[in-house]
Amino acid sequence: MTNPSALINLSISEAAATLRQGETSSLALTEASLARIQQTEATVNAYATVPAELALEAARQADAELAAGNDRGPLHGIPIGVKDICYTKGVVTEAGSKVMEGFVPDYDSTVVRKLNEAGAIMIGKTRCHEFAYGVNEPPTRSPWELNSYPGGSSTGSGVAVTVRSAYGAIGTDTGGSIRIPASFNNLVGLKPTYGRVSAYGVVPLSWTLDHVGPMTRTVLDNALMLGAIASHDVNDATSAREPVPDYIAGIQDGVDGTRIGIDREYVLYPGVVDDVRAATESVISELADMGAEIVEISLPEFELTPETLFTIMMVEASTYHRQMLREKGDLYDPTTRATLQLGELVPGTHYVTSLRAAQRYRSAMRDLFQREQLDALISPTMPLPTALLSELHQPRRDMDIGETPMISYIHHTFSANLGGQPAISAPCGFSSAGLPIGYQLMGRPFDEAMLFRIAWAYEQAHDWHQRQPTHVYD
Amino acid sequence: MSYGRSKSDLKIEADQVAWLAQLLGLDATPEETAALTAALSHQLPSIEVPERFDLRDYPPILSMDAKWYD
Repeated sequence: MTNPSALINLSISEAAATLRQGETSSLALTEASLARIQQTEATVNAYATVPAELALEAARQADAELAAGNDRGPLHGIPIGVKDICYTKGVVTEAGSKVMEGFVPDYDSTVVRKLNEAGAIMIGKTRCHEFAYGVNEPPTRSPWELNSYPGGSSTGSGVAVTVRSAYGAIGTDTGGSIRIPASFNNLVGLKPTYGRVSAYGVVPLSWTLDHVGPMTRTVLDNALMLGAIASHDVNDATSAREPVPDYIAGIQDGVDGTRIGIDREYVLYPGVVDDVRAATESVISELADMGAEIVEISLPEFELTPETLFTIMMVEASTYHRQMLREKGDLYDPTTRATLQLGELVPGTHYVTSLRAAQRYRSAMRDLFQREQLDALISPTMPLPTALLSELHQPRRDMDIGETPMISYIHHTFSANLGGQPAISAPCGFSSAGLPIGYQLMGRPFDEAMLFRIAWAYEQAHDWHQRQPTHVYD
Repeated sequence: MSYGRSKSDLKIEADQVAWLAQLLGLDATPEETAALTAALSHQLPSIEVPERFDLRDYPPILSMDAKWYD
């Protein structure tokens, strides 16, 4: 198989199989991805840096290793994008900020090291909001609607995978930054359990809330990537010692007998638009038809999550940036700078109170899962599809609920960061305007395998994940 | 710039914020101070939301594994 358009449309698992059947090479996959970058970047601007020669060299090495029988696993020879807040030895890392312009790390972040050990080809560094904060506007454009928000802060990671210039990508998620672009780009995005994937060498936004995870086109690909990057890491004090399971082993076990909870009052609140409400109800109905038991639950502590998370995030981000803000303050985007200034003015008592509230939320979530014997909670990922960039910070026009689209976007995502439990977003349809809709599953800590199992079962009944934006290709 | 759903915005004067910013060593222009004043007026009352819940039995999420690992 050498046709570039056929190659770029393969999933990771398909590309891996094709490689081992001798029908293609890592070099061909890498050249196809680089050609795709050439074709799409002028429109979508997903990459901050594309180290093409390094990628080609790594691909040749991957082919030589495979030919010699040294098979590093399913990511061996596969081009993967990496969010530009992850340190990459010898490759510029700027975190979407002029503050870090030209910075070249002298070591790899652990997630990049793990990708290298798995034989993956780093095809490029993907763009993000400045320092992953999510307040400035990155230059990346949505291939689904060029004037709309492509999601963030893992903006380029989402767009690169959806336009097929990478087979998968690494994102980070402090309040939804993997799941938001996954939902807006018709992808599968996983925020793993806190500490499951090392954050060493990743520019921090908020130590208590930061997570590193995979963004892919299919559930199976996501499980493959997590298996490659999950580990304990002595360099990361928050890294978990929990053994890494085989995420593929039970992925096809189906949902019969599983118990999936929904807090309708919170997750289907008035800010959820009809298209999203209908798509979510459809997922719930289909999972029930497949044998899952849907459990109506109520968790009042959901209400405390937005303010609590925002206070923690602001104070921790401002702490990390305190010195740089004074030394290079004029280099920050004005919106980031203003938010960092605000974080310094939040009292310490508010911060610690928020950490106590986080503990209450986590305890309530644990009790709920145990009492109801739940395997997952379900919700929409986003209350509404992507909005126009010009309307992102304006009060929503579609309903009078006192929210901007940007505030609505964190309604369902913040809670999993606060509690540290895993959460996955996967495609479940399209709006009447043709924009992707995603649903979210939150699970028990370190039980990502259950989320993959449920999401995989739903994915088999649909072709949502195969649909692509078309106008970028024309 | 802030996330708060409190109905009771705090009344803060720009002079107070300018003084506090200066005390902390923040280089805030008058325009930034005005924006900060508005944001802080909104942000500070947001603590009311978690405080609606009884937190007496909940210490903050702070953990330390004192063992030394290789």
